[in-house]
This record gives sequence, structure tokens and C-alpha cells, in this order.
Amino acid sequence: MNDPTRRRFLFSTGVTSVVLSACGFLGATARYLSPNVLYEPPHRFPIGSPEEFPPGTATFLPEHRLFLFNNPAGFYAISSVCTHLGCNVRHIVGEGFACPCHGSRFDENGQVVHGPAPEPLAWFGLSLSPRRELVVNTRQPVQPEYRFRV
Amino acid sequence: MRTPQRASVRFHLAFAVLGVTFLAIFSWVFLKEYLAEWRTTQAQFDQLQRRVKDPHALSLAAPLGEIQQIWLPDLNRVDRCPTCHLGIDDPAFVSAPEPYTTHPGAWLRTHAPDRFGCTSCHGGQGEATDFRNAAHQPIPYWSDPMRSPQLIEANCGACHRERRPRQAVWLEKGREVIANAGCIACHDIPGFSLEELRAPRLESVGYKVRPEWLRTWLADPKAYLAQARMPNFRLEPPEIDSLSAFLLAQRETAPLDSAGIDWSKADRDRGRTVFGEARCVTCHRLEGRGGTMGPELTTVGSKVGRAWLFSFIKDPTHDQPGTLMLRYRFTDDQIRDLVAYLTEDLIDPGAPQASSEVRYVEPALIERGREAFVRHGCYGCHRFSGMVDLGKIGPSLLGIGDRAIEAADFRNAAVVPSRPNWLFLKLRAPDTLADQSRMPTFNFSEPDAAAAVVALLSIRRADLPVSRVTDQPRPVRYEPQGTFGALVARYRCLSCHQTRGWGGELSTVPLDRIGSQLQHAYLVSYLQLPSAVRVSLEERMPWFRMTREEARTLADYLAGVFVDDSLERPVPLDADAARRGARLYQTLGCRGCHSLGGTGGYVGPDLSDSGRRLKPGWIEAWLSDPGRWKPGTLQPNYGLKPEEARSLTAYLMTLSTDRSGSTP
Repeated sequence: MNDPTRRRFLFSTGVTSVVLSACGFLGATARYLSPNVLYEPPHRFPIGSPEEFPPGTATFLPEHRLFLFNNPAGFYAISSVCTHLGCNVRHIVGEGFACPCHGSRFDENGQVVHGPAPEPLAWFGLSLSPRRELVVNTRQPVQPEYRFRV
Repeated sequence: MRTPQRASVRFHLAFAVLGVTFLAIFSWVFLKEYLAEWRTTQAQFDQLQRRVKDPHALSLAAPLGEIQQIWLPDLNRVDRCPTCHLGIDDPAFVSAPEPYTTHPGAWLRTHAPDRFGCTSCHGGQGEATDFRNAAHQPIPYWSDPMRSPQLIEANCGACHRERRPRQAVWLEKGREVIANAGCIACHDIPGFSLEELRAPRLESVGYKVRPEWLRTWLADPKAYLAQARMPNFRLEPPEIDSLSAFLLAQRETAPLDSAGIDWSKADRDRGRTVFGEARCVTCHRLEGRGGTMGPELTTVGSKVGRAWLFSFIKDPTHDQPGTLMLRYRFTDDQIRDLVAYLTEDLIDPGAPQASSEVRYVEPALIERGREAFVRHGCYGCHRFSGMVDLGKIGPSLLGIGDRAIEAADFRNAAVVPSRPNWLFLKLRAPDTLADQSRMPTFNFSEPDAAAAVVALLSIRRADLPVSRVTDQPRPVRYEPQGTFGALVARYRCLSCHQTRGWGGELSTVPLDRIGSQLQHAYLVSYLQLPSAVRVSLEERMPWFRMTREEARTLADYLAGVFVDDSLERPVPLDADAARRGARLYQTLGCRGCHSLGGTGGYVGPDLSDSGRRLKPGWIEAWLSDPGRWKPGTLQPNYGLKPEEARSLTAYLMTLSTDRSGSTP
């Protein structure tokens, strides 16, 4: 007598569960594609105390592939990776950056002056660790007017 | 009609149950991911840091909600400890509870976490993100749990391979224990070399020791001498028989001839005087007092024969070429008296008496003794001609800090089967472990064994990149040649003194600039008859009875070569400055440690004769910065102004015990 109701209830329970789990599993699979951590260099790393970078200097940090500038307005970090094929660019005081591989030129702010580099050099955000060390975050792109004051 | 209906209900039921099961499984996956331990821990930290920090600092802090890791490819480590230990590098969390608290001490300043990680020092499973699997405490299937405070220095030692690492007292002590115990004789141990072994050669031991002594020694060396370096090999009586027969048959080099000595004229009291004058106790213990460089002599009369001892004192290198013992310039009569004193007064009344019966020794017994000698690896310590290429008897200890340990390695089931426990037992009581090893019993004290465990655990298999390892250069053997070299070899100066990092450690002052520190005339007279400068010290330079020519040769060479040009500078010494110096001497309280004319302290050297002893350039340099010349010295750095140091120097240069009035 109650069979149709019971059947409907069982059927809808089954369908809801299956659909929910299927969506969940799909979601979990999608989530699986972006792992919590990777075996790769960290995107936030300390580079030393601000005093190690005297005012008015540009310091090349080869292990992190970036230049750290300290000018009167504050600190800023520019990637040394050429946006063309990834060579380390060279800094020329007063002129900007030059890539030794294919001759790309960038101005002091890392903007392309002439190719083949398609894009300007990346700028990274800075912060200060509790132990007063400058910390670079390569996942925090910033605009060329960015300056970090200690 | 009912049957298909029933079947349909059953089908719907199964469908629903299956669906719910799927949902349950998925929920479990979901919950496991989003209720992970580290997320809760980070959430609690977030509340904590909102209380502790101001909003501006908060905006700069590391973002929460993700796993923090330190990736060190060259050390093959991935440490996710900072996922939970979030305040570890932030002084604001000093009083926060675990796991948020700041790392104690200044360790992170010298070992930045982003360069060294956490598990390099602490051990544990760096990739885990929950408390249990991180192996904060020992867990099954992870052989490298977090080090307890007692053992953590083992991890310092993996990189710091100096013999004396700074600030790691247990590691340093352990390495010293390993070097002193002579482990290197049987095992290859990275960082240790055979040079440190100093066991007597045995090719002529048949002339040296008394047979009855040899048997008690072989049975248990510590029974004769508490500080004996030789371990107990747990020999059975038949082995003792054969080994002593073999050893007593070793008569390669006969002792120097003492046939012309009239022993009836020997005077033991005069011998005792010679013993005292020569300062033998600097190296040899006698009834609980004296140095430990040489063997204790309290019962030496029960150990060695008279003829051998006579020969040994006359020329120690005759049958022991590498000995630390120096060659005194004694007369035959003095040696005779000394030997009589040593062999007749210094005996053990309880020692077994020599049996006068002559027994025939079977060649087969000697051969069995030779086999036992090889089987127990005796040749490892006692270099033996003809037994050079036998190799080390024990396994190499490279990677001993990674040795896999199982419960089956222990005979006593009550012991927790861990690597430190296994090493500790191996050192303290090798016969209680499951493997039937030939490792002898060293009778290490508990602290010594614990320290040695720390040092052994630091010997890992993994090869670290050179840039990660600190070591100090091994000193280069210093062997001066010529007349000077012959005297240095004869009087064994380098048994106690150091130069260029090479030599003994009894004297705390390296000889490298001694020619700039001491005046030539003083050196000549001191070498001939050493007088105590530090009267409180038991160790004093022996009275070699060297000739004036020899003393001159040594002093000339020291004054010409063992100098520091920066100390060879004129210091103006005038009477006014000396008076100011005398007042300074009083106000600084120098007399608290130094004595003058018999009054004053005994911590520092006696200064009564400094005007004839020391060179002014040295005094001035020393007073200006003692720590520069002798790190860790007790002499305080008073921060003297240059003219104050000069005045004190001028004053000290007026001091002399020579009453004839000839001031330098």
C-alpha cells in the first residue's frame, strides 16, 4: 500500500546521494589538481636585513634571480628573468636592463624598450619579517611605482 | 504481481543504501581535508596573533590556511613544521604556548630556518603535518624520531665535524671519549685517524714485563690500573695461557746493557729524590696524584723487570720509537737509583709472586697465542712488525648513526629497541646484545658512554654537500730537523707543547711566539733548571738536566724563529711610567691573582721576576687584549688605555728577584 511512497523516498534519497557524491568527487578531483604544496622553491623568502642593502644601490641576488633596489623612496625588487627566454638580465646604472642572450632592453622600471622581450620585467612585493628581514613574495605582483619603506 | 513489486522495492533500497554510502565516503574525504589537524592549529594561532600583534604587523604576516614548508633539495629535506610552529621565528610569541612559541636562544640567527630547515637539527618526519606522524615521539616505521635534548647534539655533529665543536659539550666529550678509547684501532671512523693511538709496541715485550703481571693484565687490565686504556677482552684462561706464552716469547730488541751496574750500591732514597726532581709526576700518577699522559707508576715494580726499566729510562726510544717519554740526561748511577726506587718501593704487595720454576713452553702454545693475538685484533693498537696489512677487525662506523635497529638485536626484552639504546649497550656491555661480537668491554662510565652515543649518532651515511660541512684543518705533522730537531725529539718537547697546531696539550701556551714572549737569557736558564712560574700547577716542566750548550741551541732557535714580529717593538720604559704602573698594579687588584715576592694570589703566574723573564713588547700587547692572544684566558681585559698598558709594562719590567742590582 505504501510501497509507491517508500519507493519514491528511497529513489530520491539514492539519487540525491549519488548526485551529491558525484559532484563532491568531481570537486575533489578538481581540487586534487592544485596540491597544497609542491616541491619547489618558496614564493616567500627572506633576503637579509635592510641594512645589508645600502641606500642608492642595486643588488643582484643570483640565487633568487632578482635585483633589490634601495633608493630614497624605499626598497623595490625587480625580477632578473628576461620575459623572452628566461636569461638573467644585466643592470646598467642609468640605462636600465639589458639581456645578454637576444638583446632585449628594459628601462630602469623594467619596461620593454625594445624586443624581443614581449613583456616588462616582473616586480615583486616586499614585507618585513618579525626578525626585521626583508621578505620577497614572488606571488605578489606590484606596479612600478611600488616602494617599500622600512 | 507482488513479486516484481517487491523486487523493485529491494532495488530502490539497494540504490539508496549505495548512494548514502557514497555520500558517507565522500563526506569522510571532505572532513579529512578540511578538519585536518594543522587547519585547527592555524585557526587557533590566528586568534592568538590577533591578541599579540598590532593590525599593521598582522597584514604583513605570512598568510594562514596553507601548508608552510621549507624545501632543501641539497639536504634532501622537506620540512612542513612551520605549518603549525607559526611563531617560531617571531620574538612576539616568546610566552606563547606550544606549538606557537618562539624558538629559544639565538639558534635561528645562526641557523636560519629557510636555509637549515627544522629536521636537520631536531630529527622527526618533516613531511608530516600532524603531531603523531611528525614523530615528535618515537613511532613505528620512522627510524629518525625527534631528538631528545640529551641527544640533539648528535645532529649538530652531522655538519660540525670539528673535534671540538663549540657549544656542543656532549658531542665534544663523546668525540674525546672515542679518540681516547682508541676505537679507531678496530673501526674506520670518519673524522678520526690512527695517529692518535699510543699503545706500546710489543715486539720486545718478553724483556719488559713480569710473566705473573701479564696474566693478571690480560685477565682484566682495569684490575691493575683503574685508568688503563686497554679494554677487557673477556679472555678465557686457555687464551690467557697462550697469549702470555706468545707475548713472553717476543724478544726482538734486547734492552741496553746494564751488566756493568752494581745493583748492591743502589740507593732507593736517592732514587726517590731523582724522581721528584725530574718531575716525573707531571706525566705519571703516583698514589692518586700526578698526570695521566704516561702510565701510573704506583705499582710499576710488580709490572716491569729491572733490566728493561734501566734501558727504558736510559733511552726510551730504544724499543719504543714513538713513545711520548723524553730522554733525560741522567748518569748511570742516577738511573740505577731511580730504577731501584721504582722496582723495589713501588710494588703491589698483593700481586702474585713470581714462580721460580722454569717451564717448557710448547711451540704450539705460542702459535695459538699468535692466533688469539690476531683474532682479538690486538695488532690494531699494538703495532706489530709483520702484522701491518691485516686490516681493521671491526666494521666501519660510517653510517652508524643510521643503523637499522630491531627488537631482535637485544637479548633483554625490557630495553626499548632504539638506536641510542643499542649503541649505549654496545659501549657499556657488548656481551648483553644479541650478536656475538668480539667487541671488548671498555667499562665506560655512564656519562662517557652517553656522550659517545651522541658522537656516534652524528656519523650519518648521507653525504652532505661540502658547503654544509664545517671542519677544521687537520694539523700538519711538525718535525723540525737538524740540531734543534734532534733536541726536540730527545726531550720530546711536543709531547706537551704545541706549535702550529701540532703537539701535546699539557702546556696551555703554544710555542708559536714564545721567542717574542720570553727573554733569551731567561730561556737558557729555565731550560737548564725549570722553576715554577705557576706554583699552583701540578704539571711542571721536567728537569731534563740538559747541558748549557743544548739550552742555548734551543733558546737561539726559539728566539730566532718562534717569534711574532708585531710583538718585537720597543716600549719606552722610564721611572715615571713605572711609578704610575705600580699604582695601577694596586688599583686594578693584580695581586688578587698574581704573587710578588711570595704574597698575592696563585691563579696567575708569579710576577716577581717578570723584568728578567718577559719581553716588554709582549707584556704590553698581552695587557692590552689578553683574549686576542689566549681565547678564554682568566686574565681580564681591563680596557687599558695605551699609556696605562705602557706604564704597567714599565713597572713589571722593574721587577726582578736578582738582588745584585743589575736591572735590565
